[in-house]
Amino acid sequence: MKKETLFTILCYLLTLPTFIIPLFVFSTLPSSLSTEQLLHQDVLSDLKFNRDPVIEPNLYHSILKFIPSQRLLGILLFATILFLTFALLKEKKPLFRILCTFLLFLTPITVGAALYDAQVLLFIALLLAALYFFKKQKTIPTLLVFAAYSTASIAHTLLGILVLTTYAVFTKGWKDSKKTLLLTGSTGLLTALLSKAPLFYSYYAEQLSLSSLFVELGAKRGVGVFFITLAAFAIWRLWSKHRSSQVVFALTILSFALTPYLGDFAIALATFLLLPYAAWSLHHLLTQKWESPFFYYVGICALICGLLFTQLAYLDRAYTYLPDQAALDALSFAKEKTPPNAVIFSHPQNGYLIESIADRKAYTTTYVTSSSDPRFKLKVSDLLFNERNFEEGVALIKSAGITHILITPHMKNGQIWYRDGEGLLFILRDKNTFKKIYSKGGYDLYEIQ
Amino acid sequence: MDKRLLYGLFLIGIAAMIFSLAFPPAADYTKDSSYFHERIISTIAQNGHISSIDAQSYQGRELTGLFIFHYFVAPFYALFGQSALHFITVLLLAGCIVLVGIITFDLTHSRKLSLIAAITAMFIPSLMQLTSETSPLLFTFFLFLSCIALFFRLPQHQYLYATTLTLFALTSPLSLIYALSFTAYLLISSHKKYLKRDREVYIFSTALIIWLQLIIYKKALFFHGISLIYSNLPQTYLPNVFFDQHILTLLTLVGFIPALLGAYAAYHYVSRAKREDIFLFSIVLVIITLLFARLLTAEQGIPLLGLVISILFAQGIGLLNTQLKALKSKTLSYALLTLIFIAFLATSVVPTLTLHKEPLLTTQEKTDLATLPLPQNATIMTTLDKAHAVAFITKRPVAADSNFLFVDNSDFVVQDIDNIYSSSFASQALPFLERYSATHILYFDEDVKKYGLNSYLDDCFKLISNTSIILYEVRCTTQ
Repeated sequence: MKKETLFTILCYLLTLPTFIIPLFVFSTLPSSLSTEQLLHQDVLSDLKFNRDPVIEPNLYHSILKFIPSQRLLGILLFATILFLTFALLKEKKPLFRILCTFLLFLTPITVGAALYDAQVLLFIALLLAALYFFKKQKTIPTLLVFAAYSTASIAHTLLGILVLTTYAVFTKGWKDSKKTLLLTGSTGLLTALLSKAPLFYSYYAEQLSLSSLFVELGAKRGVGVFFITLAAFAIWRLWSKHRSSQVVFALTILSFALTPYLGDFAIALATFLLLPYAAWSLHHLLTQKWESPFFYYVGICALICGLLFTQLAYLDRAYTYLPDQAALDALSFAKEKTPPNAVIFSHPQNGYLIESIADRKAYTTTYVTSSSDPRFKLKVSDLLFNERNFEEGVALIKSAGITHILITPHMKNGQIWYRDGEGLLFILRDKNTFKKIYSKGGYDLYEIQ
Repeated sequence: MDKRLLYGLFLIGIAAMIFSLAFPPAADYTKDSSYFHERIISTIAQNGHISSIDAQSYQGRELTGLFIFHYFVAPFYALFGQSALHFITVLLLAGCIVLVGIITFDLTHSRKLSLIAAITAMFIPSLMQLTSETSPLLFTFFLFLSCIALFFRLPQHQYLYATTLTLFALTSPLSLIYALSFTAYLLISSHKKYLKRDREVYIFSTALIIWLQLIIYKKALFFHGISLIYSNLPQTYLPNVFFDQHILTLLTLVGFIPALLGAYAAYHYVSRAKREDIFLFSIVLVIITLLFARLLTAEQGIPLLGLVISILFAQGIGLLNTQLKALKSKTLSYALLTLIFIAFLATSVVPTLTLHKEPLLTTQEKTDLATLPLPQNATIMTTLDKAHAVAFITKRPVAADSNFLFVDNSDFVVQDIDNIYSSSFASQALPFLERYSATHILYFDEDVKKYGLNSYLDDCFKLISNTSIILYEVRCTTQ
C-alpha cells in the first residue's frame, strides 16, 4: 500500500506540468482561445442574432449559454471523465485505477481537448456516463444520458451503441442486457432523428494518415507512440485469453477509420477504448517479478519519461495553433474595412477564423456533415489555388461570389505554395482587378474590383 | 575469454587495418557526404562545439542530431589532421571485425569458427568501401555489434550494456533497427521458455531507444512527419539512396557464399531453441525487409547485413563441417570445402581486393577549388552532387546541398538547380539564383558536359576562374 501511495504521489507530481505550462503560456499570448473555441463563440453569437451559424449547433452550444468559459467547462468535463473512469473501474485493483488516471493525464487528446476544444470531452463524458448508469442497471438515466449523447450525430449514436453492446456482452452477457440495449439504442437513434442530427459531424476534415494520428509525427490531435505501444502489447498478450480484446481492437480500428467524419471525437473514443489496455500493460510491467531490478527501474523510468515527453512536446507545440498577433490584426482589419456581406476566400483551415474574428462569411471551411458537404467548395478552392490563367481565375472567383481574398504567410510557405508567382499568387499581381487593401506581418488582403 | 582467440582476432584486426591503409578502395573521398562530416568535425575541432544552425548550407539551416561521433574524433582531428580520421575509421573497421569474432565465439565456443567469421567480415566489399570515407557509420556498426555482444553476455554486463545502448541510441537512428530486430526476435520465439529476462531487456531497450530518438528528432518529426524516414529526399534521389536492385545484387554486395551459408545456418537454428541465433536471424530479417521496403538506405543496410551474415556464415561452415564428417568419403568432403573456399575467394575476397572507386574530386579540382578568389560573403551555386565538397574546401556557403532536412519541398530545389544550369537566357536563370542568394555559379567538368556552358553567361556573369573549375560571378539582378 505504501508503494502505491508513493507511486500515486509521483504520478500526480509528474502531471503537474501538464496544466501549469499551458496556463503560463496562455497568459503571454495575444489570443488565448483556440480556433475551435472561437468557432463555438461565433456559433453562440450567430444564434443570439438569429444568423445562420457556420456549423450546426448542438448540446455543447446550449451548455455554453450557461457556462461561458470554455476552458472552465473543459476542465470540469475532464474532472467528470476522471470520476467516471474511476467509477467504471471500481472493481479493479487500486493501482490499475491509478494508472488509468495517470494515462488520462498523459494522453494528448484528453488534456488537449480540455484546453482547446471541450466539445469532444462532452460527448465522451456522456458516453461514459451512459456506460456507468448501464453498469449500475439504472435504465432511465442510461436512456436520458444516451439520448443527450445522440444529439451529436447518427454516426456518434451508432458508434455509441457498438461500445455499449461490447461492454454489455463482455460484462453481463447478451441475454441479461439485450432489453436495455435495444431500448437505449432505439432511444438514441430516435433522438438523433428527432433532433435532426447530421449523419456525421466533424469540423476538421482531415485525410487519415500516420501523420494525422500520431502527435509525435505532427498530428494536431492524436495519440502518442508510447500509449499505442502499451495498448498494443496488452491486446497482443490478451488476444487469445479474452475475446473482448479482439472486439475492442476492431472498435479502435473503426474509430480511427472514422476520423475524417467524426474528427477529434473518433481519436478520443479510440483513446478511451485503449486506455484500460495501456493501463493493463503498465500494471503488468510494474507488478510482475523482474529478474533484473536494474532493467526494471531504468526500463519503467524510460517508459514514463516517454509518455511524459509525448505530452509535454504536444503541449509545447499545441499553443502555436492559436492565432498570433499578426493574424488577429489582419482579421480585425477585415472586420472593420470590409462590407458585412463580404465573402472572403482563403485556405479552408482559416475559414473559422474569418467567421469568428472577422465576422465575415468564409468561402469554405473544413466543416463536414452529411448536410453540409464542403467537397465541391474544396474542389473549387483547389482549382483556384493552382489557377494561373487570369481570365479563367477571375471568372471562377466571380462565379463563386468571392469578394475578398486573404493570403496568410503559412499559405505562402508550403501550405499551398512554395514560390512567388505560383498559381493564384500570379493572378493576384494584376493590380486593376485585385486591390491590396492590407499587407502586414505576411498577411495580405485583396479586394476584388 | 580464450587468450589465443583474442590474439588471433587482434592479428586479424591489425591485418584489416594494414590492408585498408595500404590498399584503400579510393585515394580520396568518393562521397559528397564525407566532406560534410569532415566540415562538422573541423568546426568542432576549431570552436569546441557546433552551432545548431549550419550557416554554410541553404543560407543557414538547422542541424539535426547530436553528432557524437564528430565530437569523439574532433580532438584527434585537431591534433593530427585528416589522417586521424582515416586512422580512426580503419580502427573502427578492425573493432567491428574483432566483435564479429567475439560474438561468433560466444555462440559456437569454437576458436576456428570465430576466426573464420572475422576473416569473412574483413572481406565484405560494401564495408571495405567505407574505409576511404569519413562517416559515422562504422562507429554506429561498432556500437550495434557491441550491443549484440553485450546482450549475449547479460546479466553480467548489464551496466555496460545500458551505457552502450544509450550511446548507440544517441548516435544514430539505426538503433531503431536494433529495437525492431528485438521485436521480431520476441515474436519469432514467443513460444520459447527462456524469454523472461529477454523481455525485460527488450522493454528497457525499446523504451530507451524510442524515447531518445523522439527527443533527438522531435523537431524534424513535427516538420516532416513520417517522411522523415526518407530524410525529405527529392523523388529523383530516392533510387540512388535506397536499394533498388535484384536480390542477387544484394547477395553479391554482402558476399555470395557467406550469404548462402549464413541463410543455411539461420534456417537450421531457427527451428531449434537457440536464442542467440534467432536474435541474429531477426536482425537479418529486419534489415532485408527494410532494404526492400526502401526504409533503410543501401549505404547503411548492406554493410550491416554483411557483418551479421559473417557470424551466421561461420556457423554455416561449422554445420556443414559436422555433416561432412558424417560422410564416408573424405575426398568428397575436402573437395566440397575447397569448392566453397574458391567460391568465397572469387565472390568476396577478389571483389574486395579489386575494389576501386574514383574519388569525387581530382587533386587538381581540389587545388583549384581551394585557390578560388572568392569574397568572404560569397554564396556559391553548384550542383547538388558536390555541394558539400565545395562548401568544405572553399569555406563559403553553398546555395543548396544534398542535406534536405527542414527544406520545404526538396523536389523544387532539384528543379531550380536544373533550371539554372539549363536556362538559355539570363532572365530565366536570375530569379532562381536570387532565390538562393547565389553570388557565384560554379561548373565542374561534368556540369559542362551535362548542361554545356550557358550562352547567357557572357552578359551578366563575369568569369572569375577558368581552370578545372569554371566560376562566374553573378553581376545582374532581376530589378
